[in-house]
This record gives sequence, structure tokens and C-alpha cells, in this order.
Amino acid sequence: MSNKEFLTREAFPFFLSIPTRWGDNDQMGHVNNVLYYRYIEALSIHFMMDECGLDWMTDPIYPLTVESLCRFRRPLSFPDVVEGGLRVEKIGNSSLTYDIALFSQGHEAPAATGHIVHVFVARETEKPVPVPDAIRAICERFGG
Amino acid sequence: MHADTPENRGNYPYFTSIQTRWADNDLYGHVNNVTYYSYFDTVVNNYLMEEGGFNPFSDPVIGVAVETLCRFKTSITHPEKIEAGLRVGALGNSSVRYEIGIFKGGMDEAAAAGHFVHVFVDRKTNTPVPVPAKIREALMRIQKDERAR
Repeated sequence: MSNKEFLTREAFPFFLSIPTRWGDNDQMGHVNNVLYYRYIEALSIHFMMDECGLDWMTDPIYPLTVESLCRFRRPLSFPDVVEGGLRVEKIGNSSLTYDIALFSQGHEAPAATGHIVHVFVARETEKPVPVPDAIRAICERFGG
Repeated sequence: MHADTPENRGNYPYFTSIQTRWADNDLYGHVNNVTYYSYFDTVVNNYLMEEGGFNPFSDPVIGVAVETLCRFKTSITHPEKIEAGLRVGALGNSSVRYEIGIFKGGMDEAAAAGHFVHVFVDRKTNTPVPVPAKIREALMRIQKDERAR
């Protein structure tokens, strides 16, 4: 994540609505920390499919997650609906870094912020390859 | 922890064995990245329960996660058995930073490594409180600096 943290909805050009589920809460009565990454994953998967046109099952080049981070600022609880925001923070040769924030209805400040780093690999070899040009062009529109 | 420094088993004083499960694998036939964080939860809480006397059901003070990070180096796949290594990187008044390595059976270099920051809070008020004495003692035993002395 860059030094600057983005804390408002306006900072994020891509949003996905994710309903929490009963089983997301752990024995402390809040959404378990692990599940935040499931929401973050859904955001990045949908960004790639819906905006970048990636076909996860057949495209010869696809991204793998190589790093993720989450800062937990406020508990989420079922039945909150998470409004996940994503922006492309950095476009590297083979990698994309996304900044992410998880908001919930009725709160200005995010419940969590974080980032994930994708590295594009060839499906056959799982070796890094450059970010495809078409995806790179789209990501440039989703940056800061 | 630096991104490029390899993490070896010798860097961790405590290990817990974890049997991966069928549903840990995702569509790509590897353990899904999110699942690694459930291994983090498991090694941290195993240590707190086994060595720190932590009772997650009744203790008045509990740890809440405030930050976690993982770097994924090599994939793991069900039905592998893995070992999660744990050390304490920093111990504050209310908080502790655990450093964790995920190891495949027989491999010395971690398949993934990261950290997990707990803040101890009063279960009722959710406000930070000092790390309970018994847990602090247990955490000091696996602290990086302590072990170097």
C-alpha cells in the first residue's frame, strides 16, 4: 500500500456490494478477520471479470495473489452489507497493486483498508508475464 | 520482516501442525490465499491457549486482530500437511505483533510468511487493556530479541 491511505468512498472508482453471511461471524460475534480477505478477493475477482473482461477459467494469462494486507478498523457483523471499494494503485511490468477499503452502510469511515498484489502468470507455466495491454489500459482508468 | 528475506524454520520457536482440507483448494487446485489467514488464526490461538492459558470462551480479555499481512511464495495443495511457525516480533503494552511462517512438510524455506497484530481488549467494553500477565510471559518466551540473547 502506498503511504497515503484512502478513507473515503470518493477515492474508489470500482465498487462491489457484498452481503455478509451468518457463518462469517466467529465466536466473538464479529466477522472473523479471515473473512475480510474473502470480501477483498471477491472485489478483485469481480474487477478483473466485470471491468477487465478476464475469463478466469480459460484465459491463457491470469493473475495470482502474491501479497495481501488488511487493517481492521471497526468490526463488521452479520447482517451488514459490505460496500467494497477498489482502486488500482500501481501498474508494474507483471504486477498490479490494488488499494481496497471495506465500507458498511451507515458509516462514512471504512471498517477495513488494505491492499493486494496480483502477478500475472502464464496458465501453462505459472511463470510471470507482462500485464496484458488491454488490461493495462483499463487499469489506467481505475487509478488515482 | 523484509519482503525478500527468506524465512526458514530456524527462525520460529513454536510450531503447530495443520492438516489441509479438501475445501482449502480452490479452482486452481491450490490452497486459496484467503485460507492461509485461517492457518494464522490457528497457530496464534493454539499458542495462546496452550502456553498462555487463554480461554476464548470465558476470559474477560481477548485479542482482536488489527492488521494482518501475508506474502505468498510457493503454492500448497490439499492433502499436504503443513506446519505453521510462530514468533513474537514486537510486544507492546496492549499489542503484540506475531510473525508467522507456513511450511510444507520437509521444506526448510517458508511457502508463505507474514504477520498478525493483536490488540488485547476488554471483552465487554472493547477498549484496549494491558496484555494479561500469563499471556505476556508466554509471548516473551518466543520473542525474537529474547531468543538472540
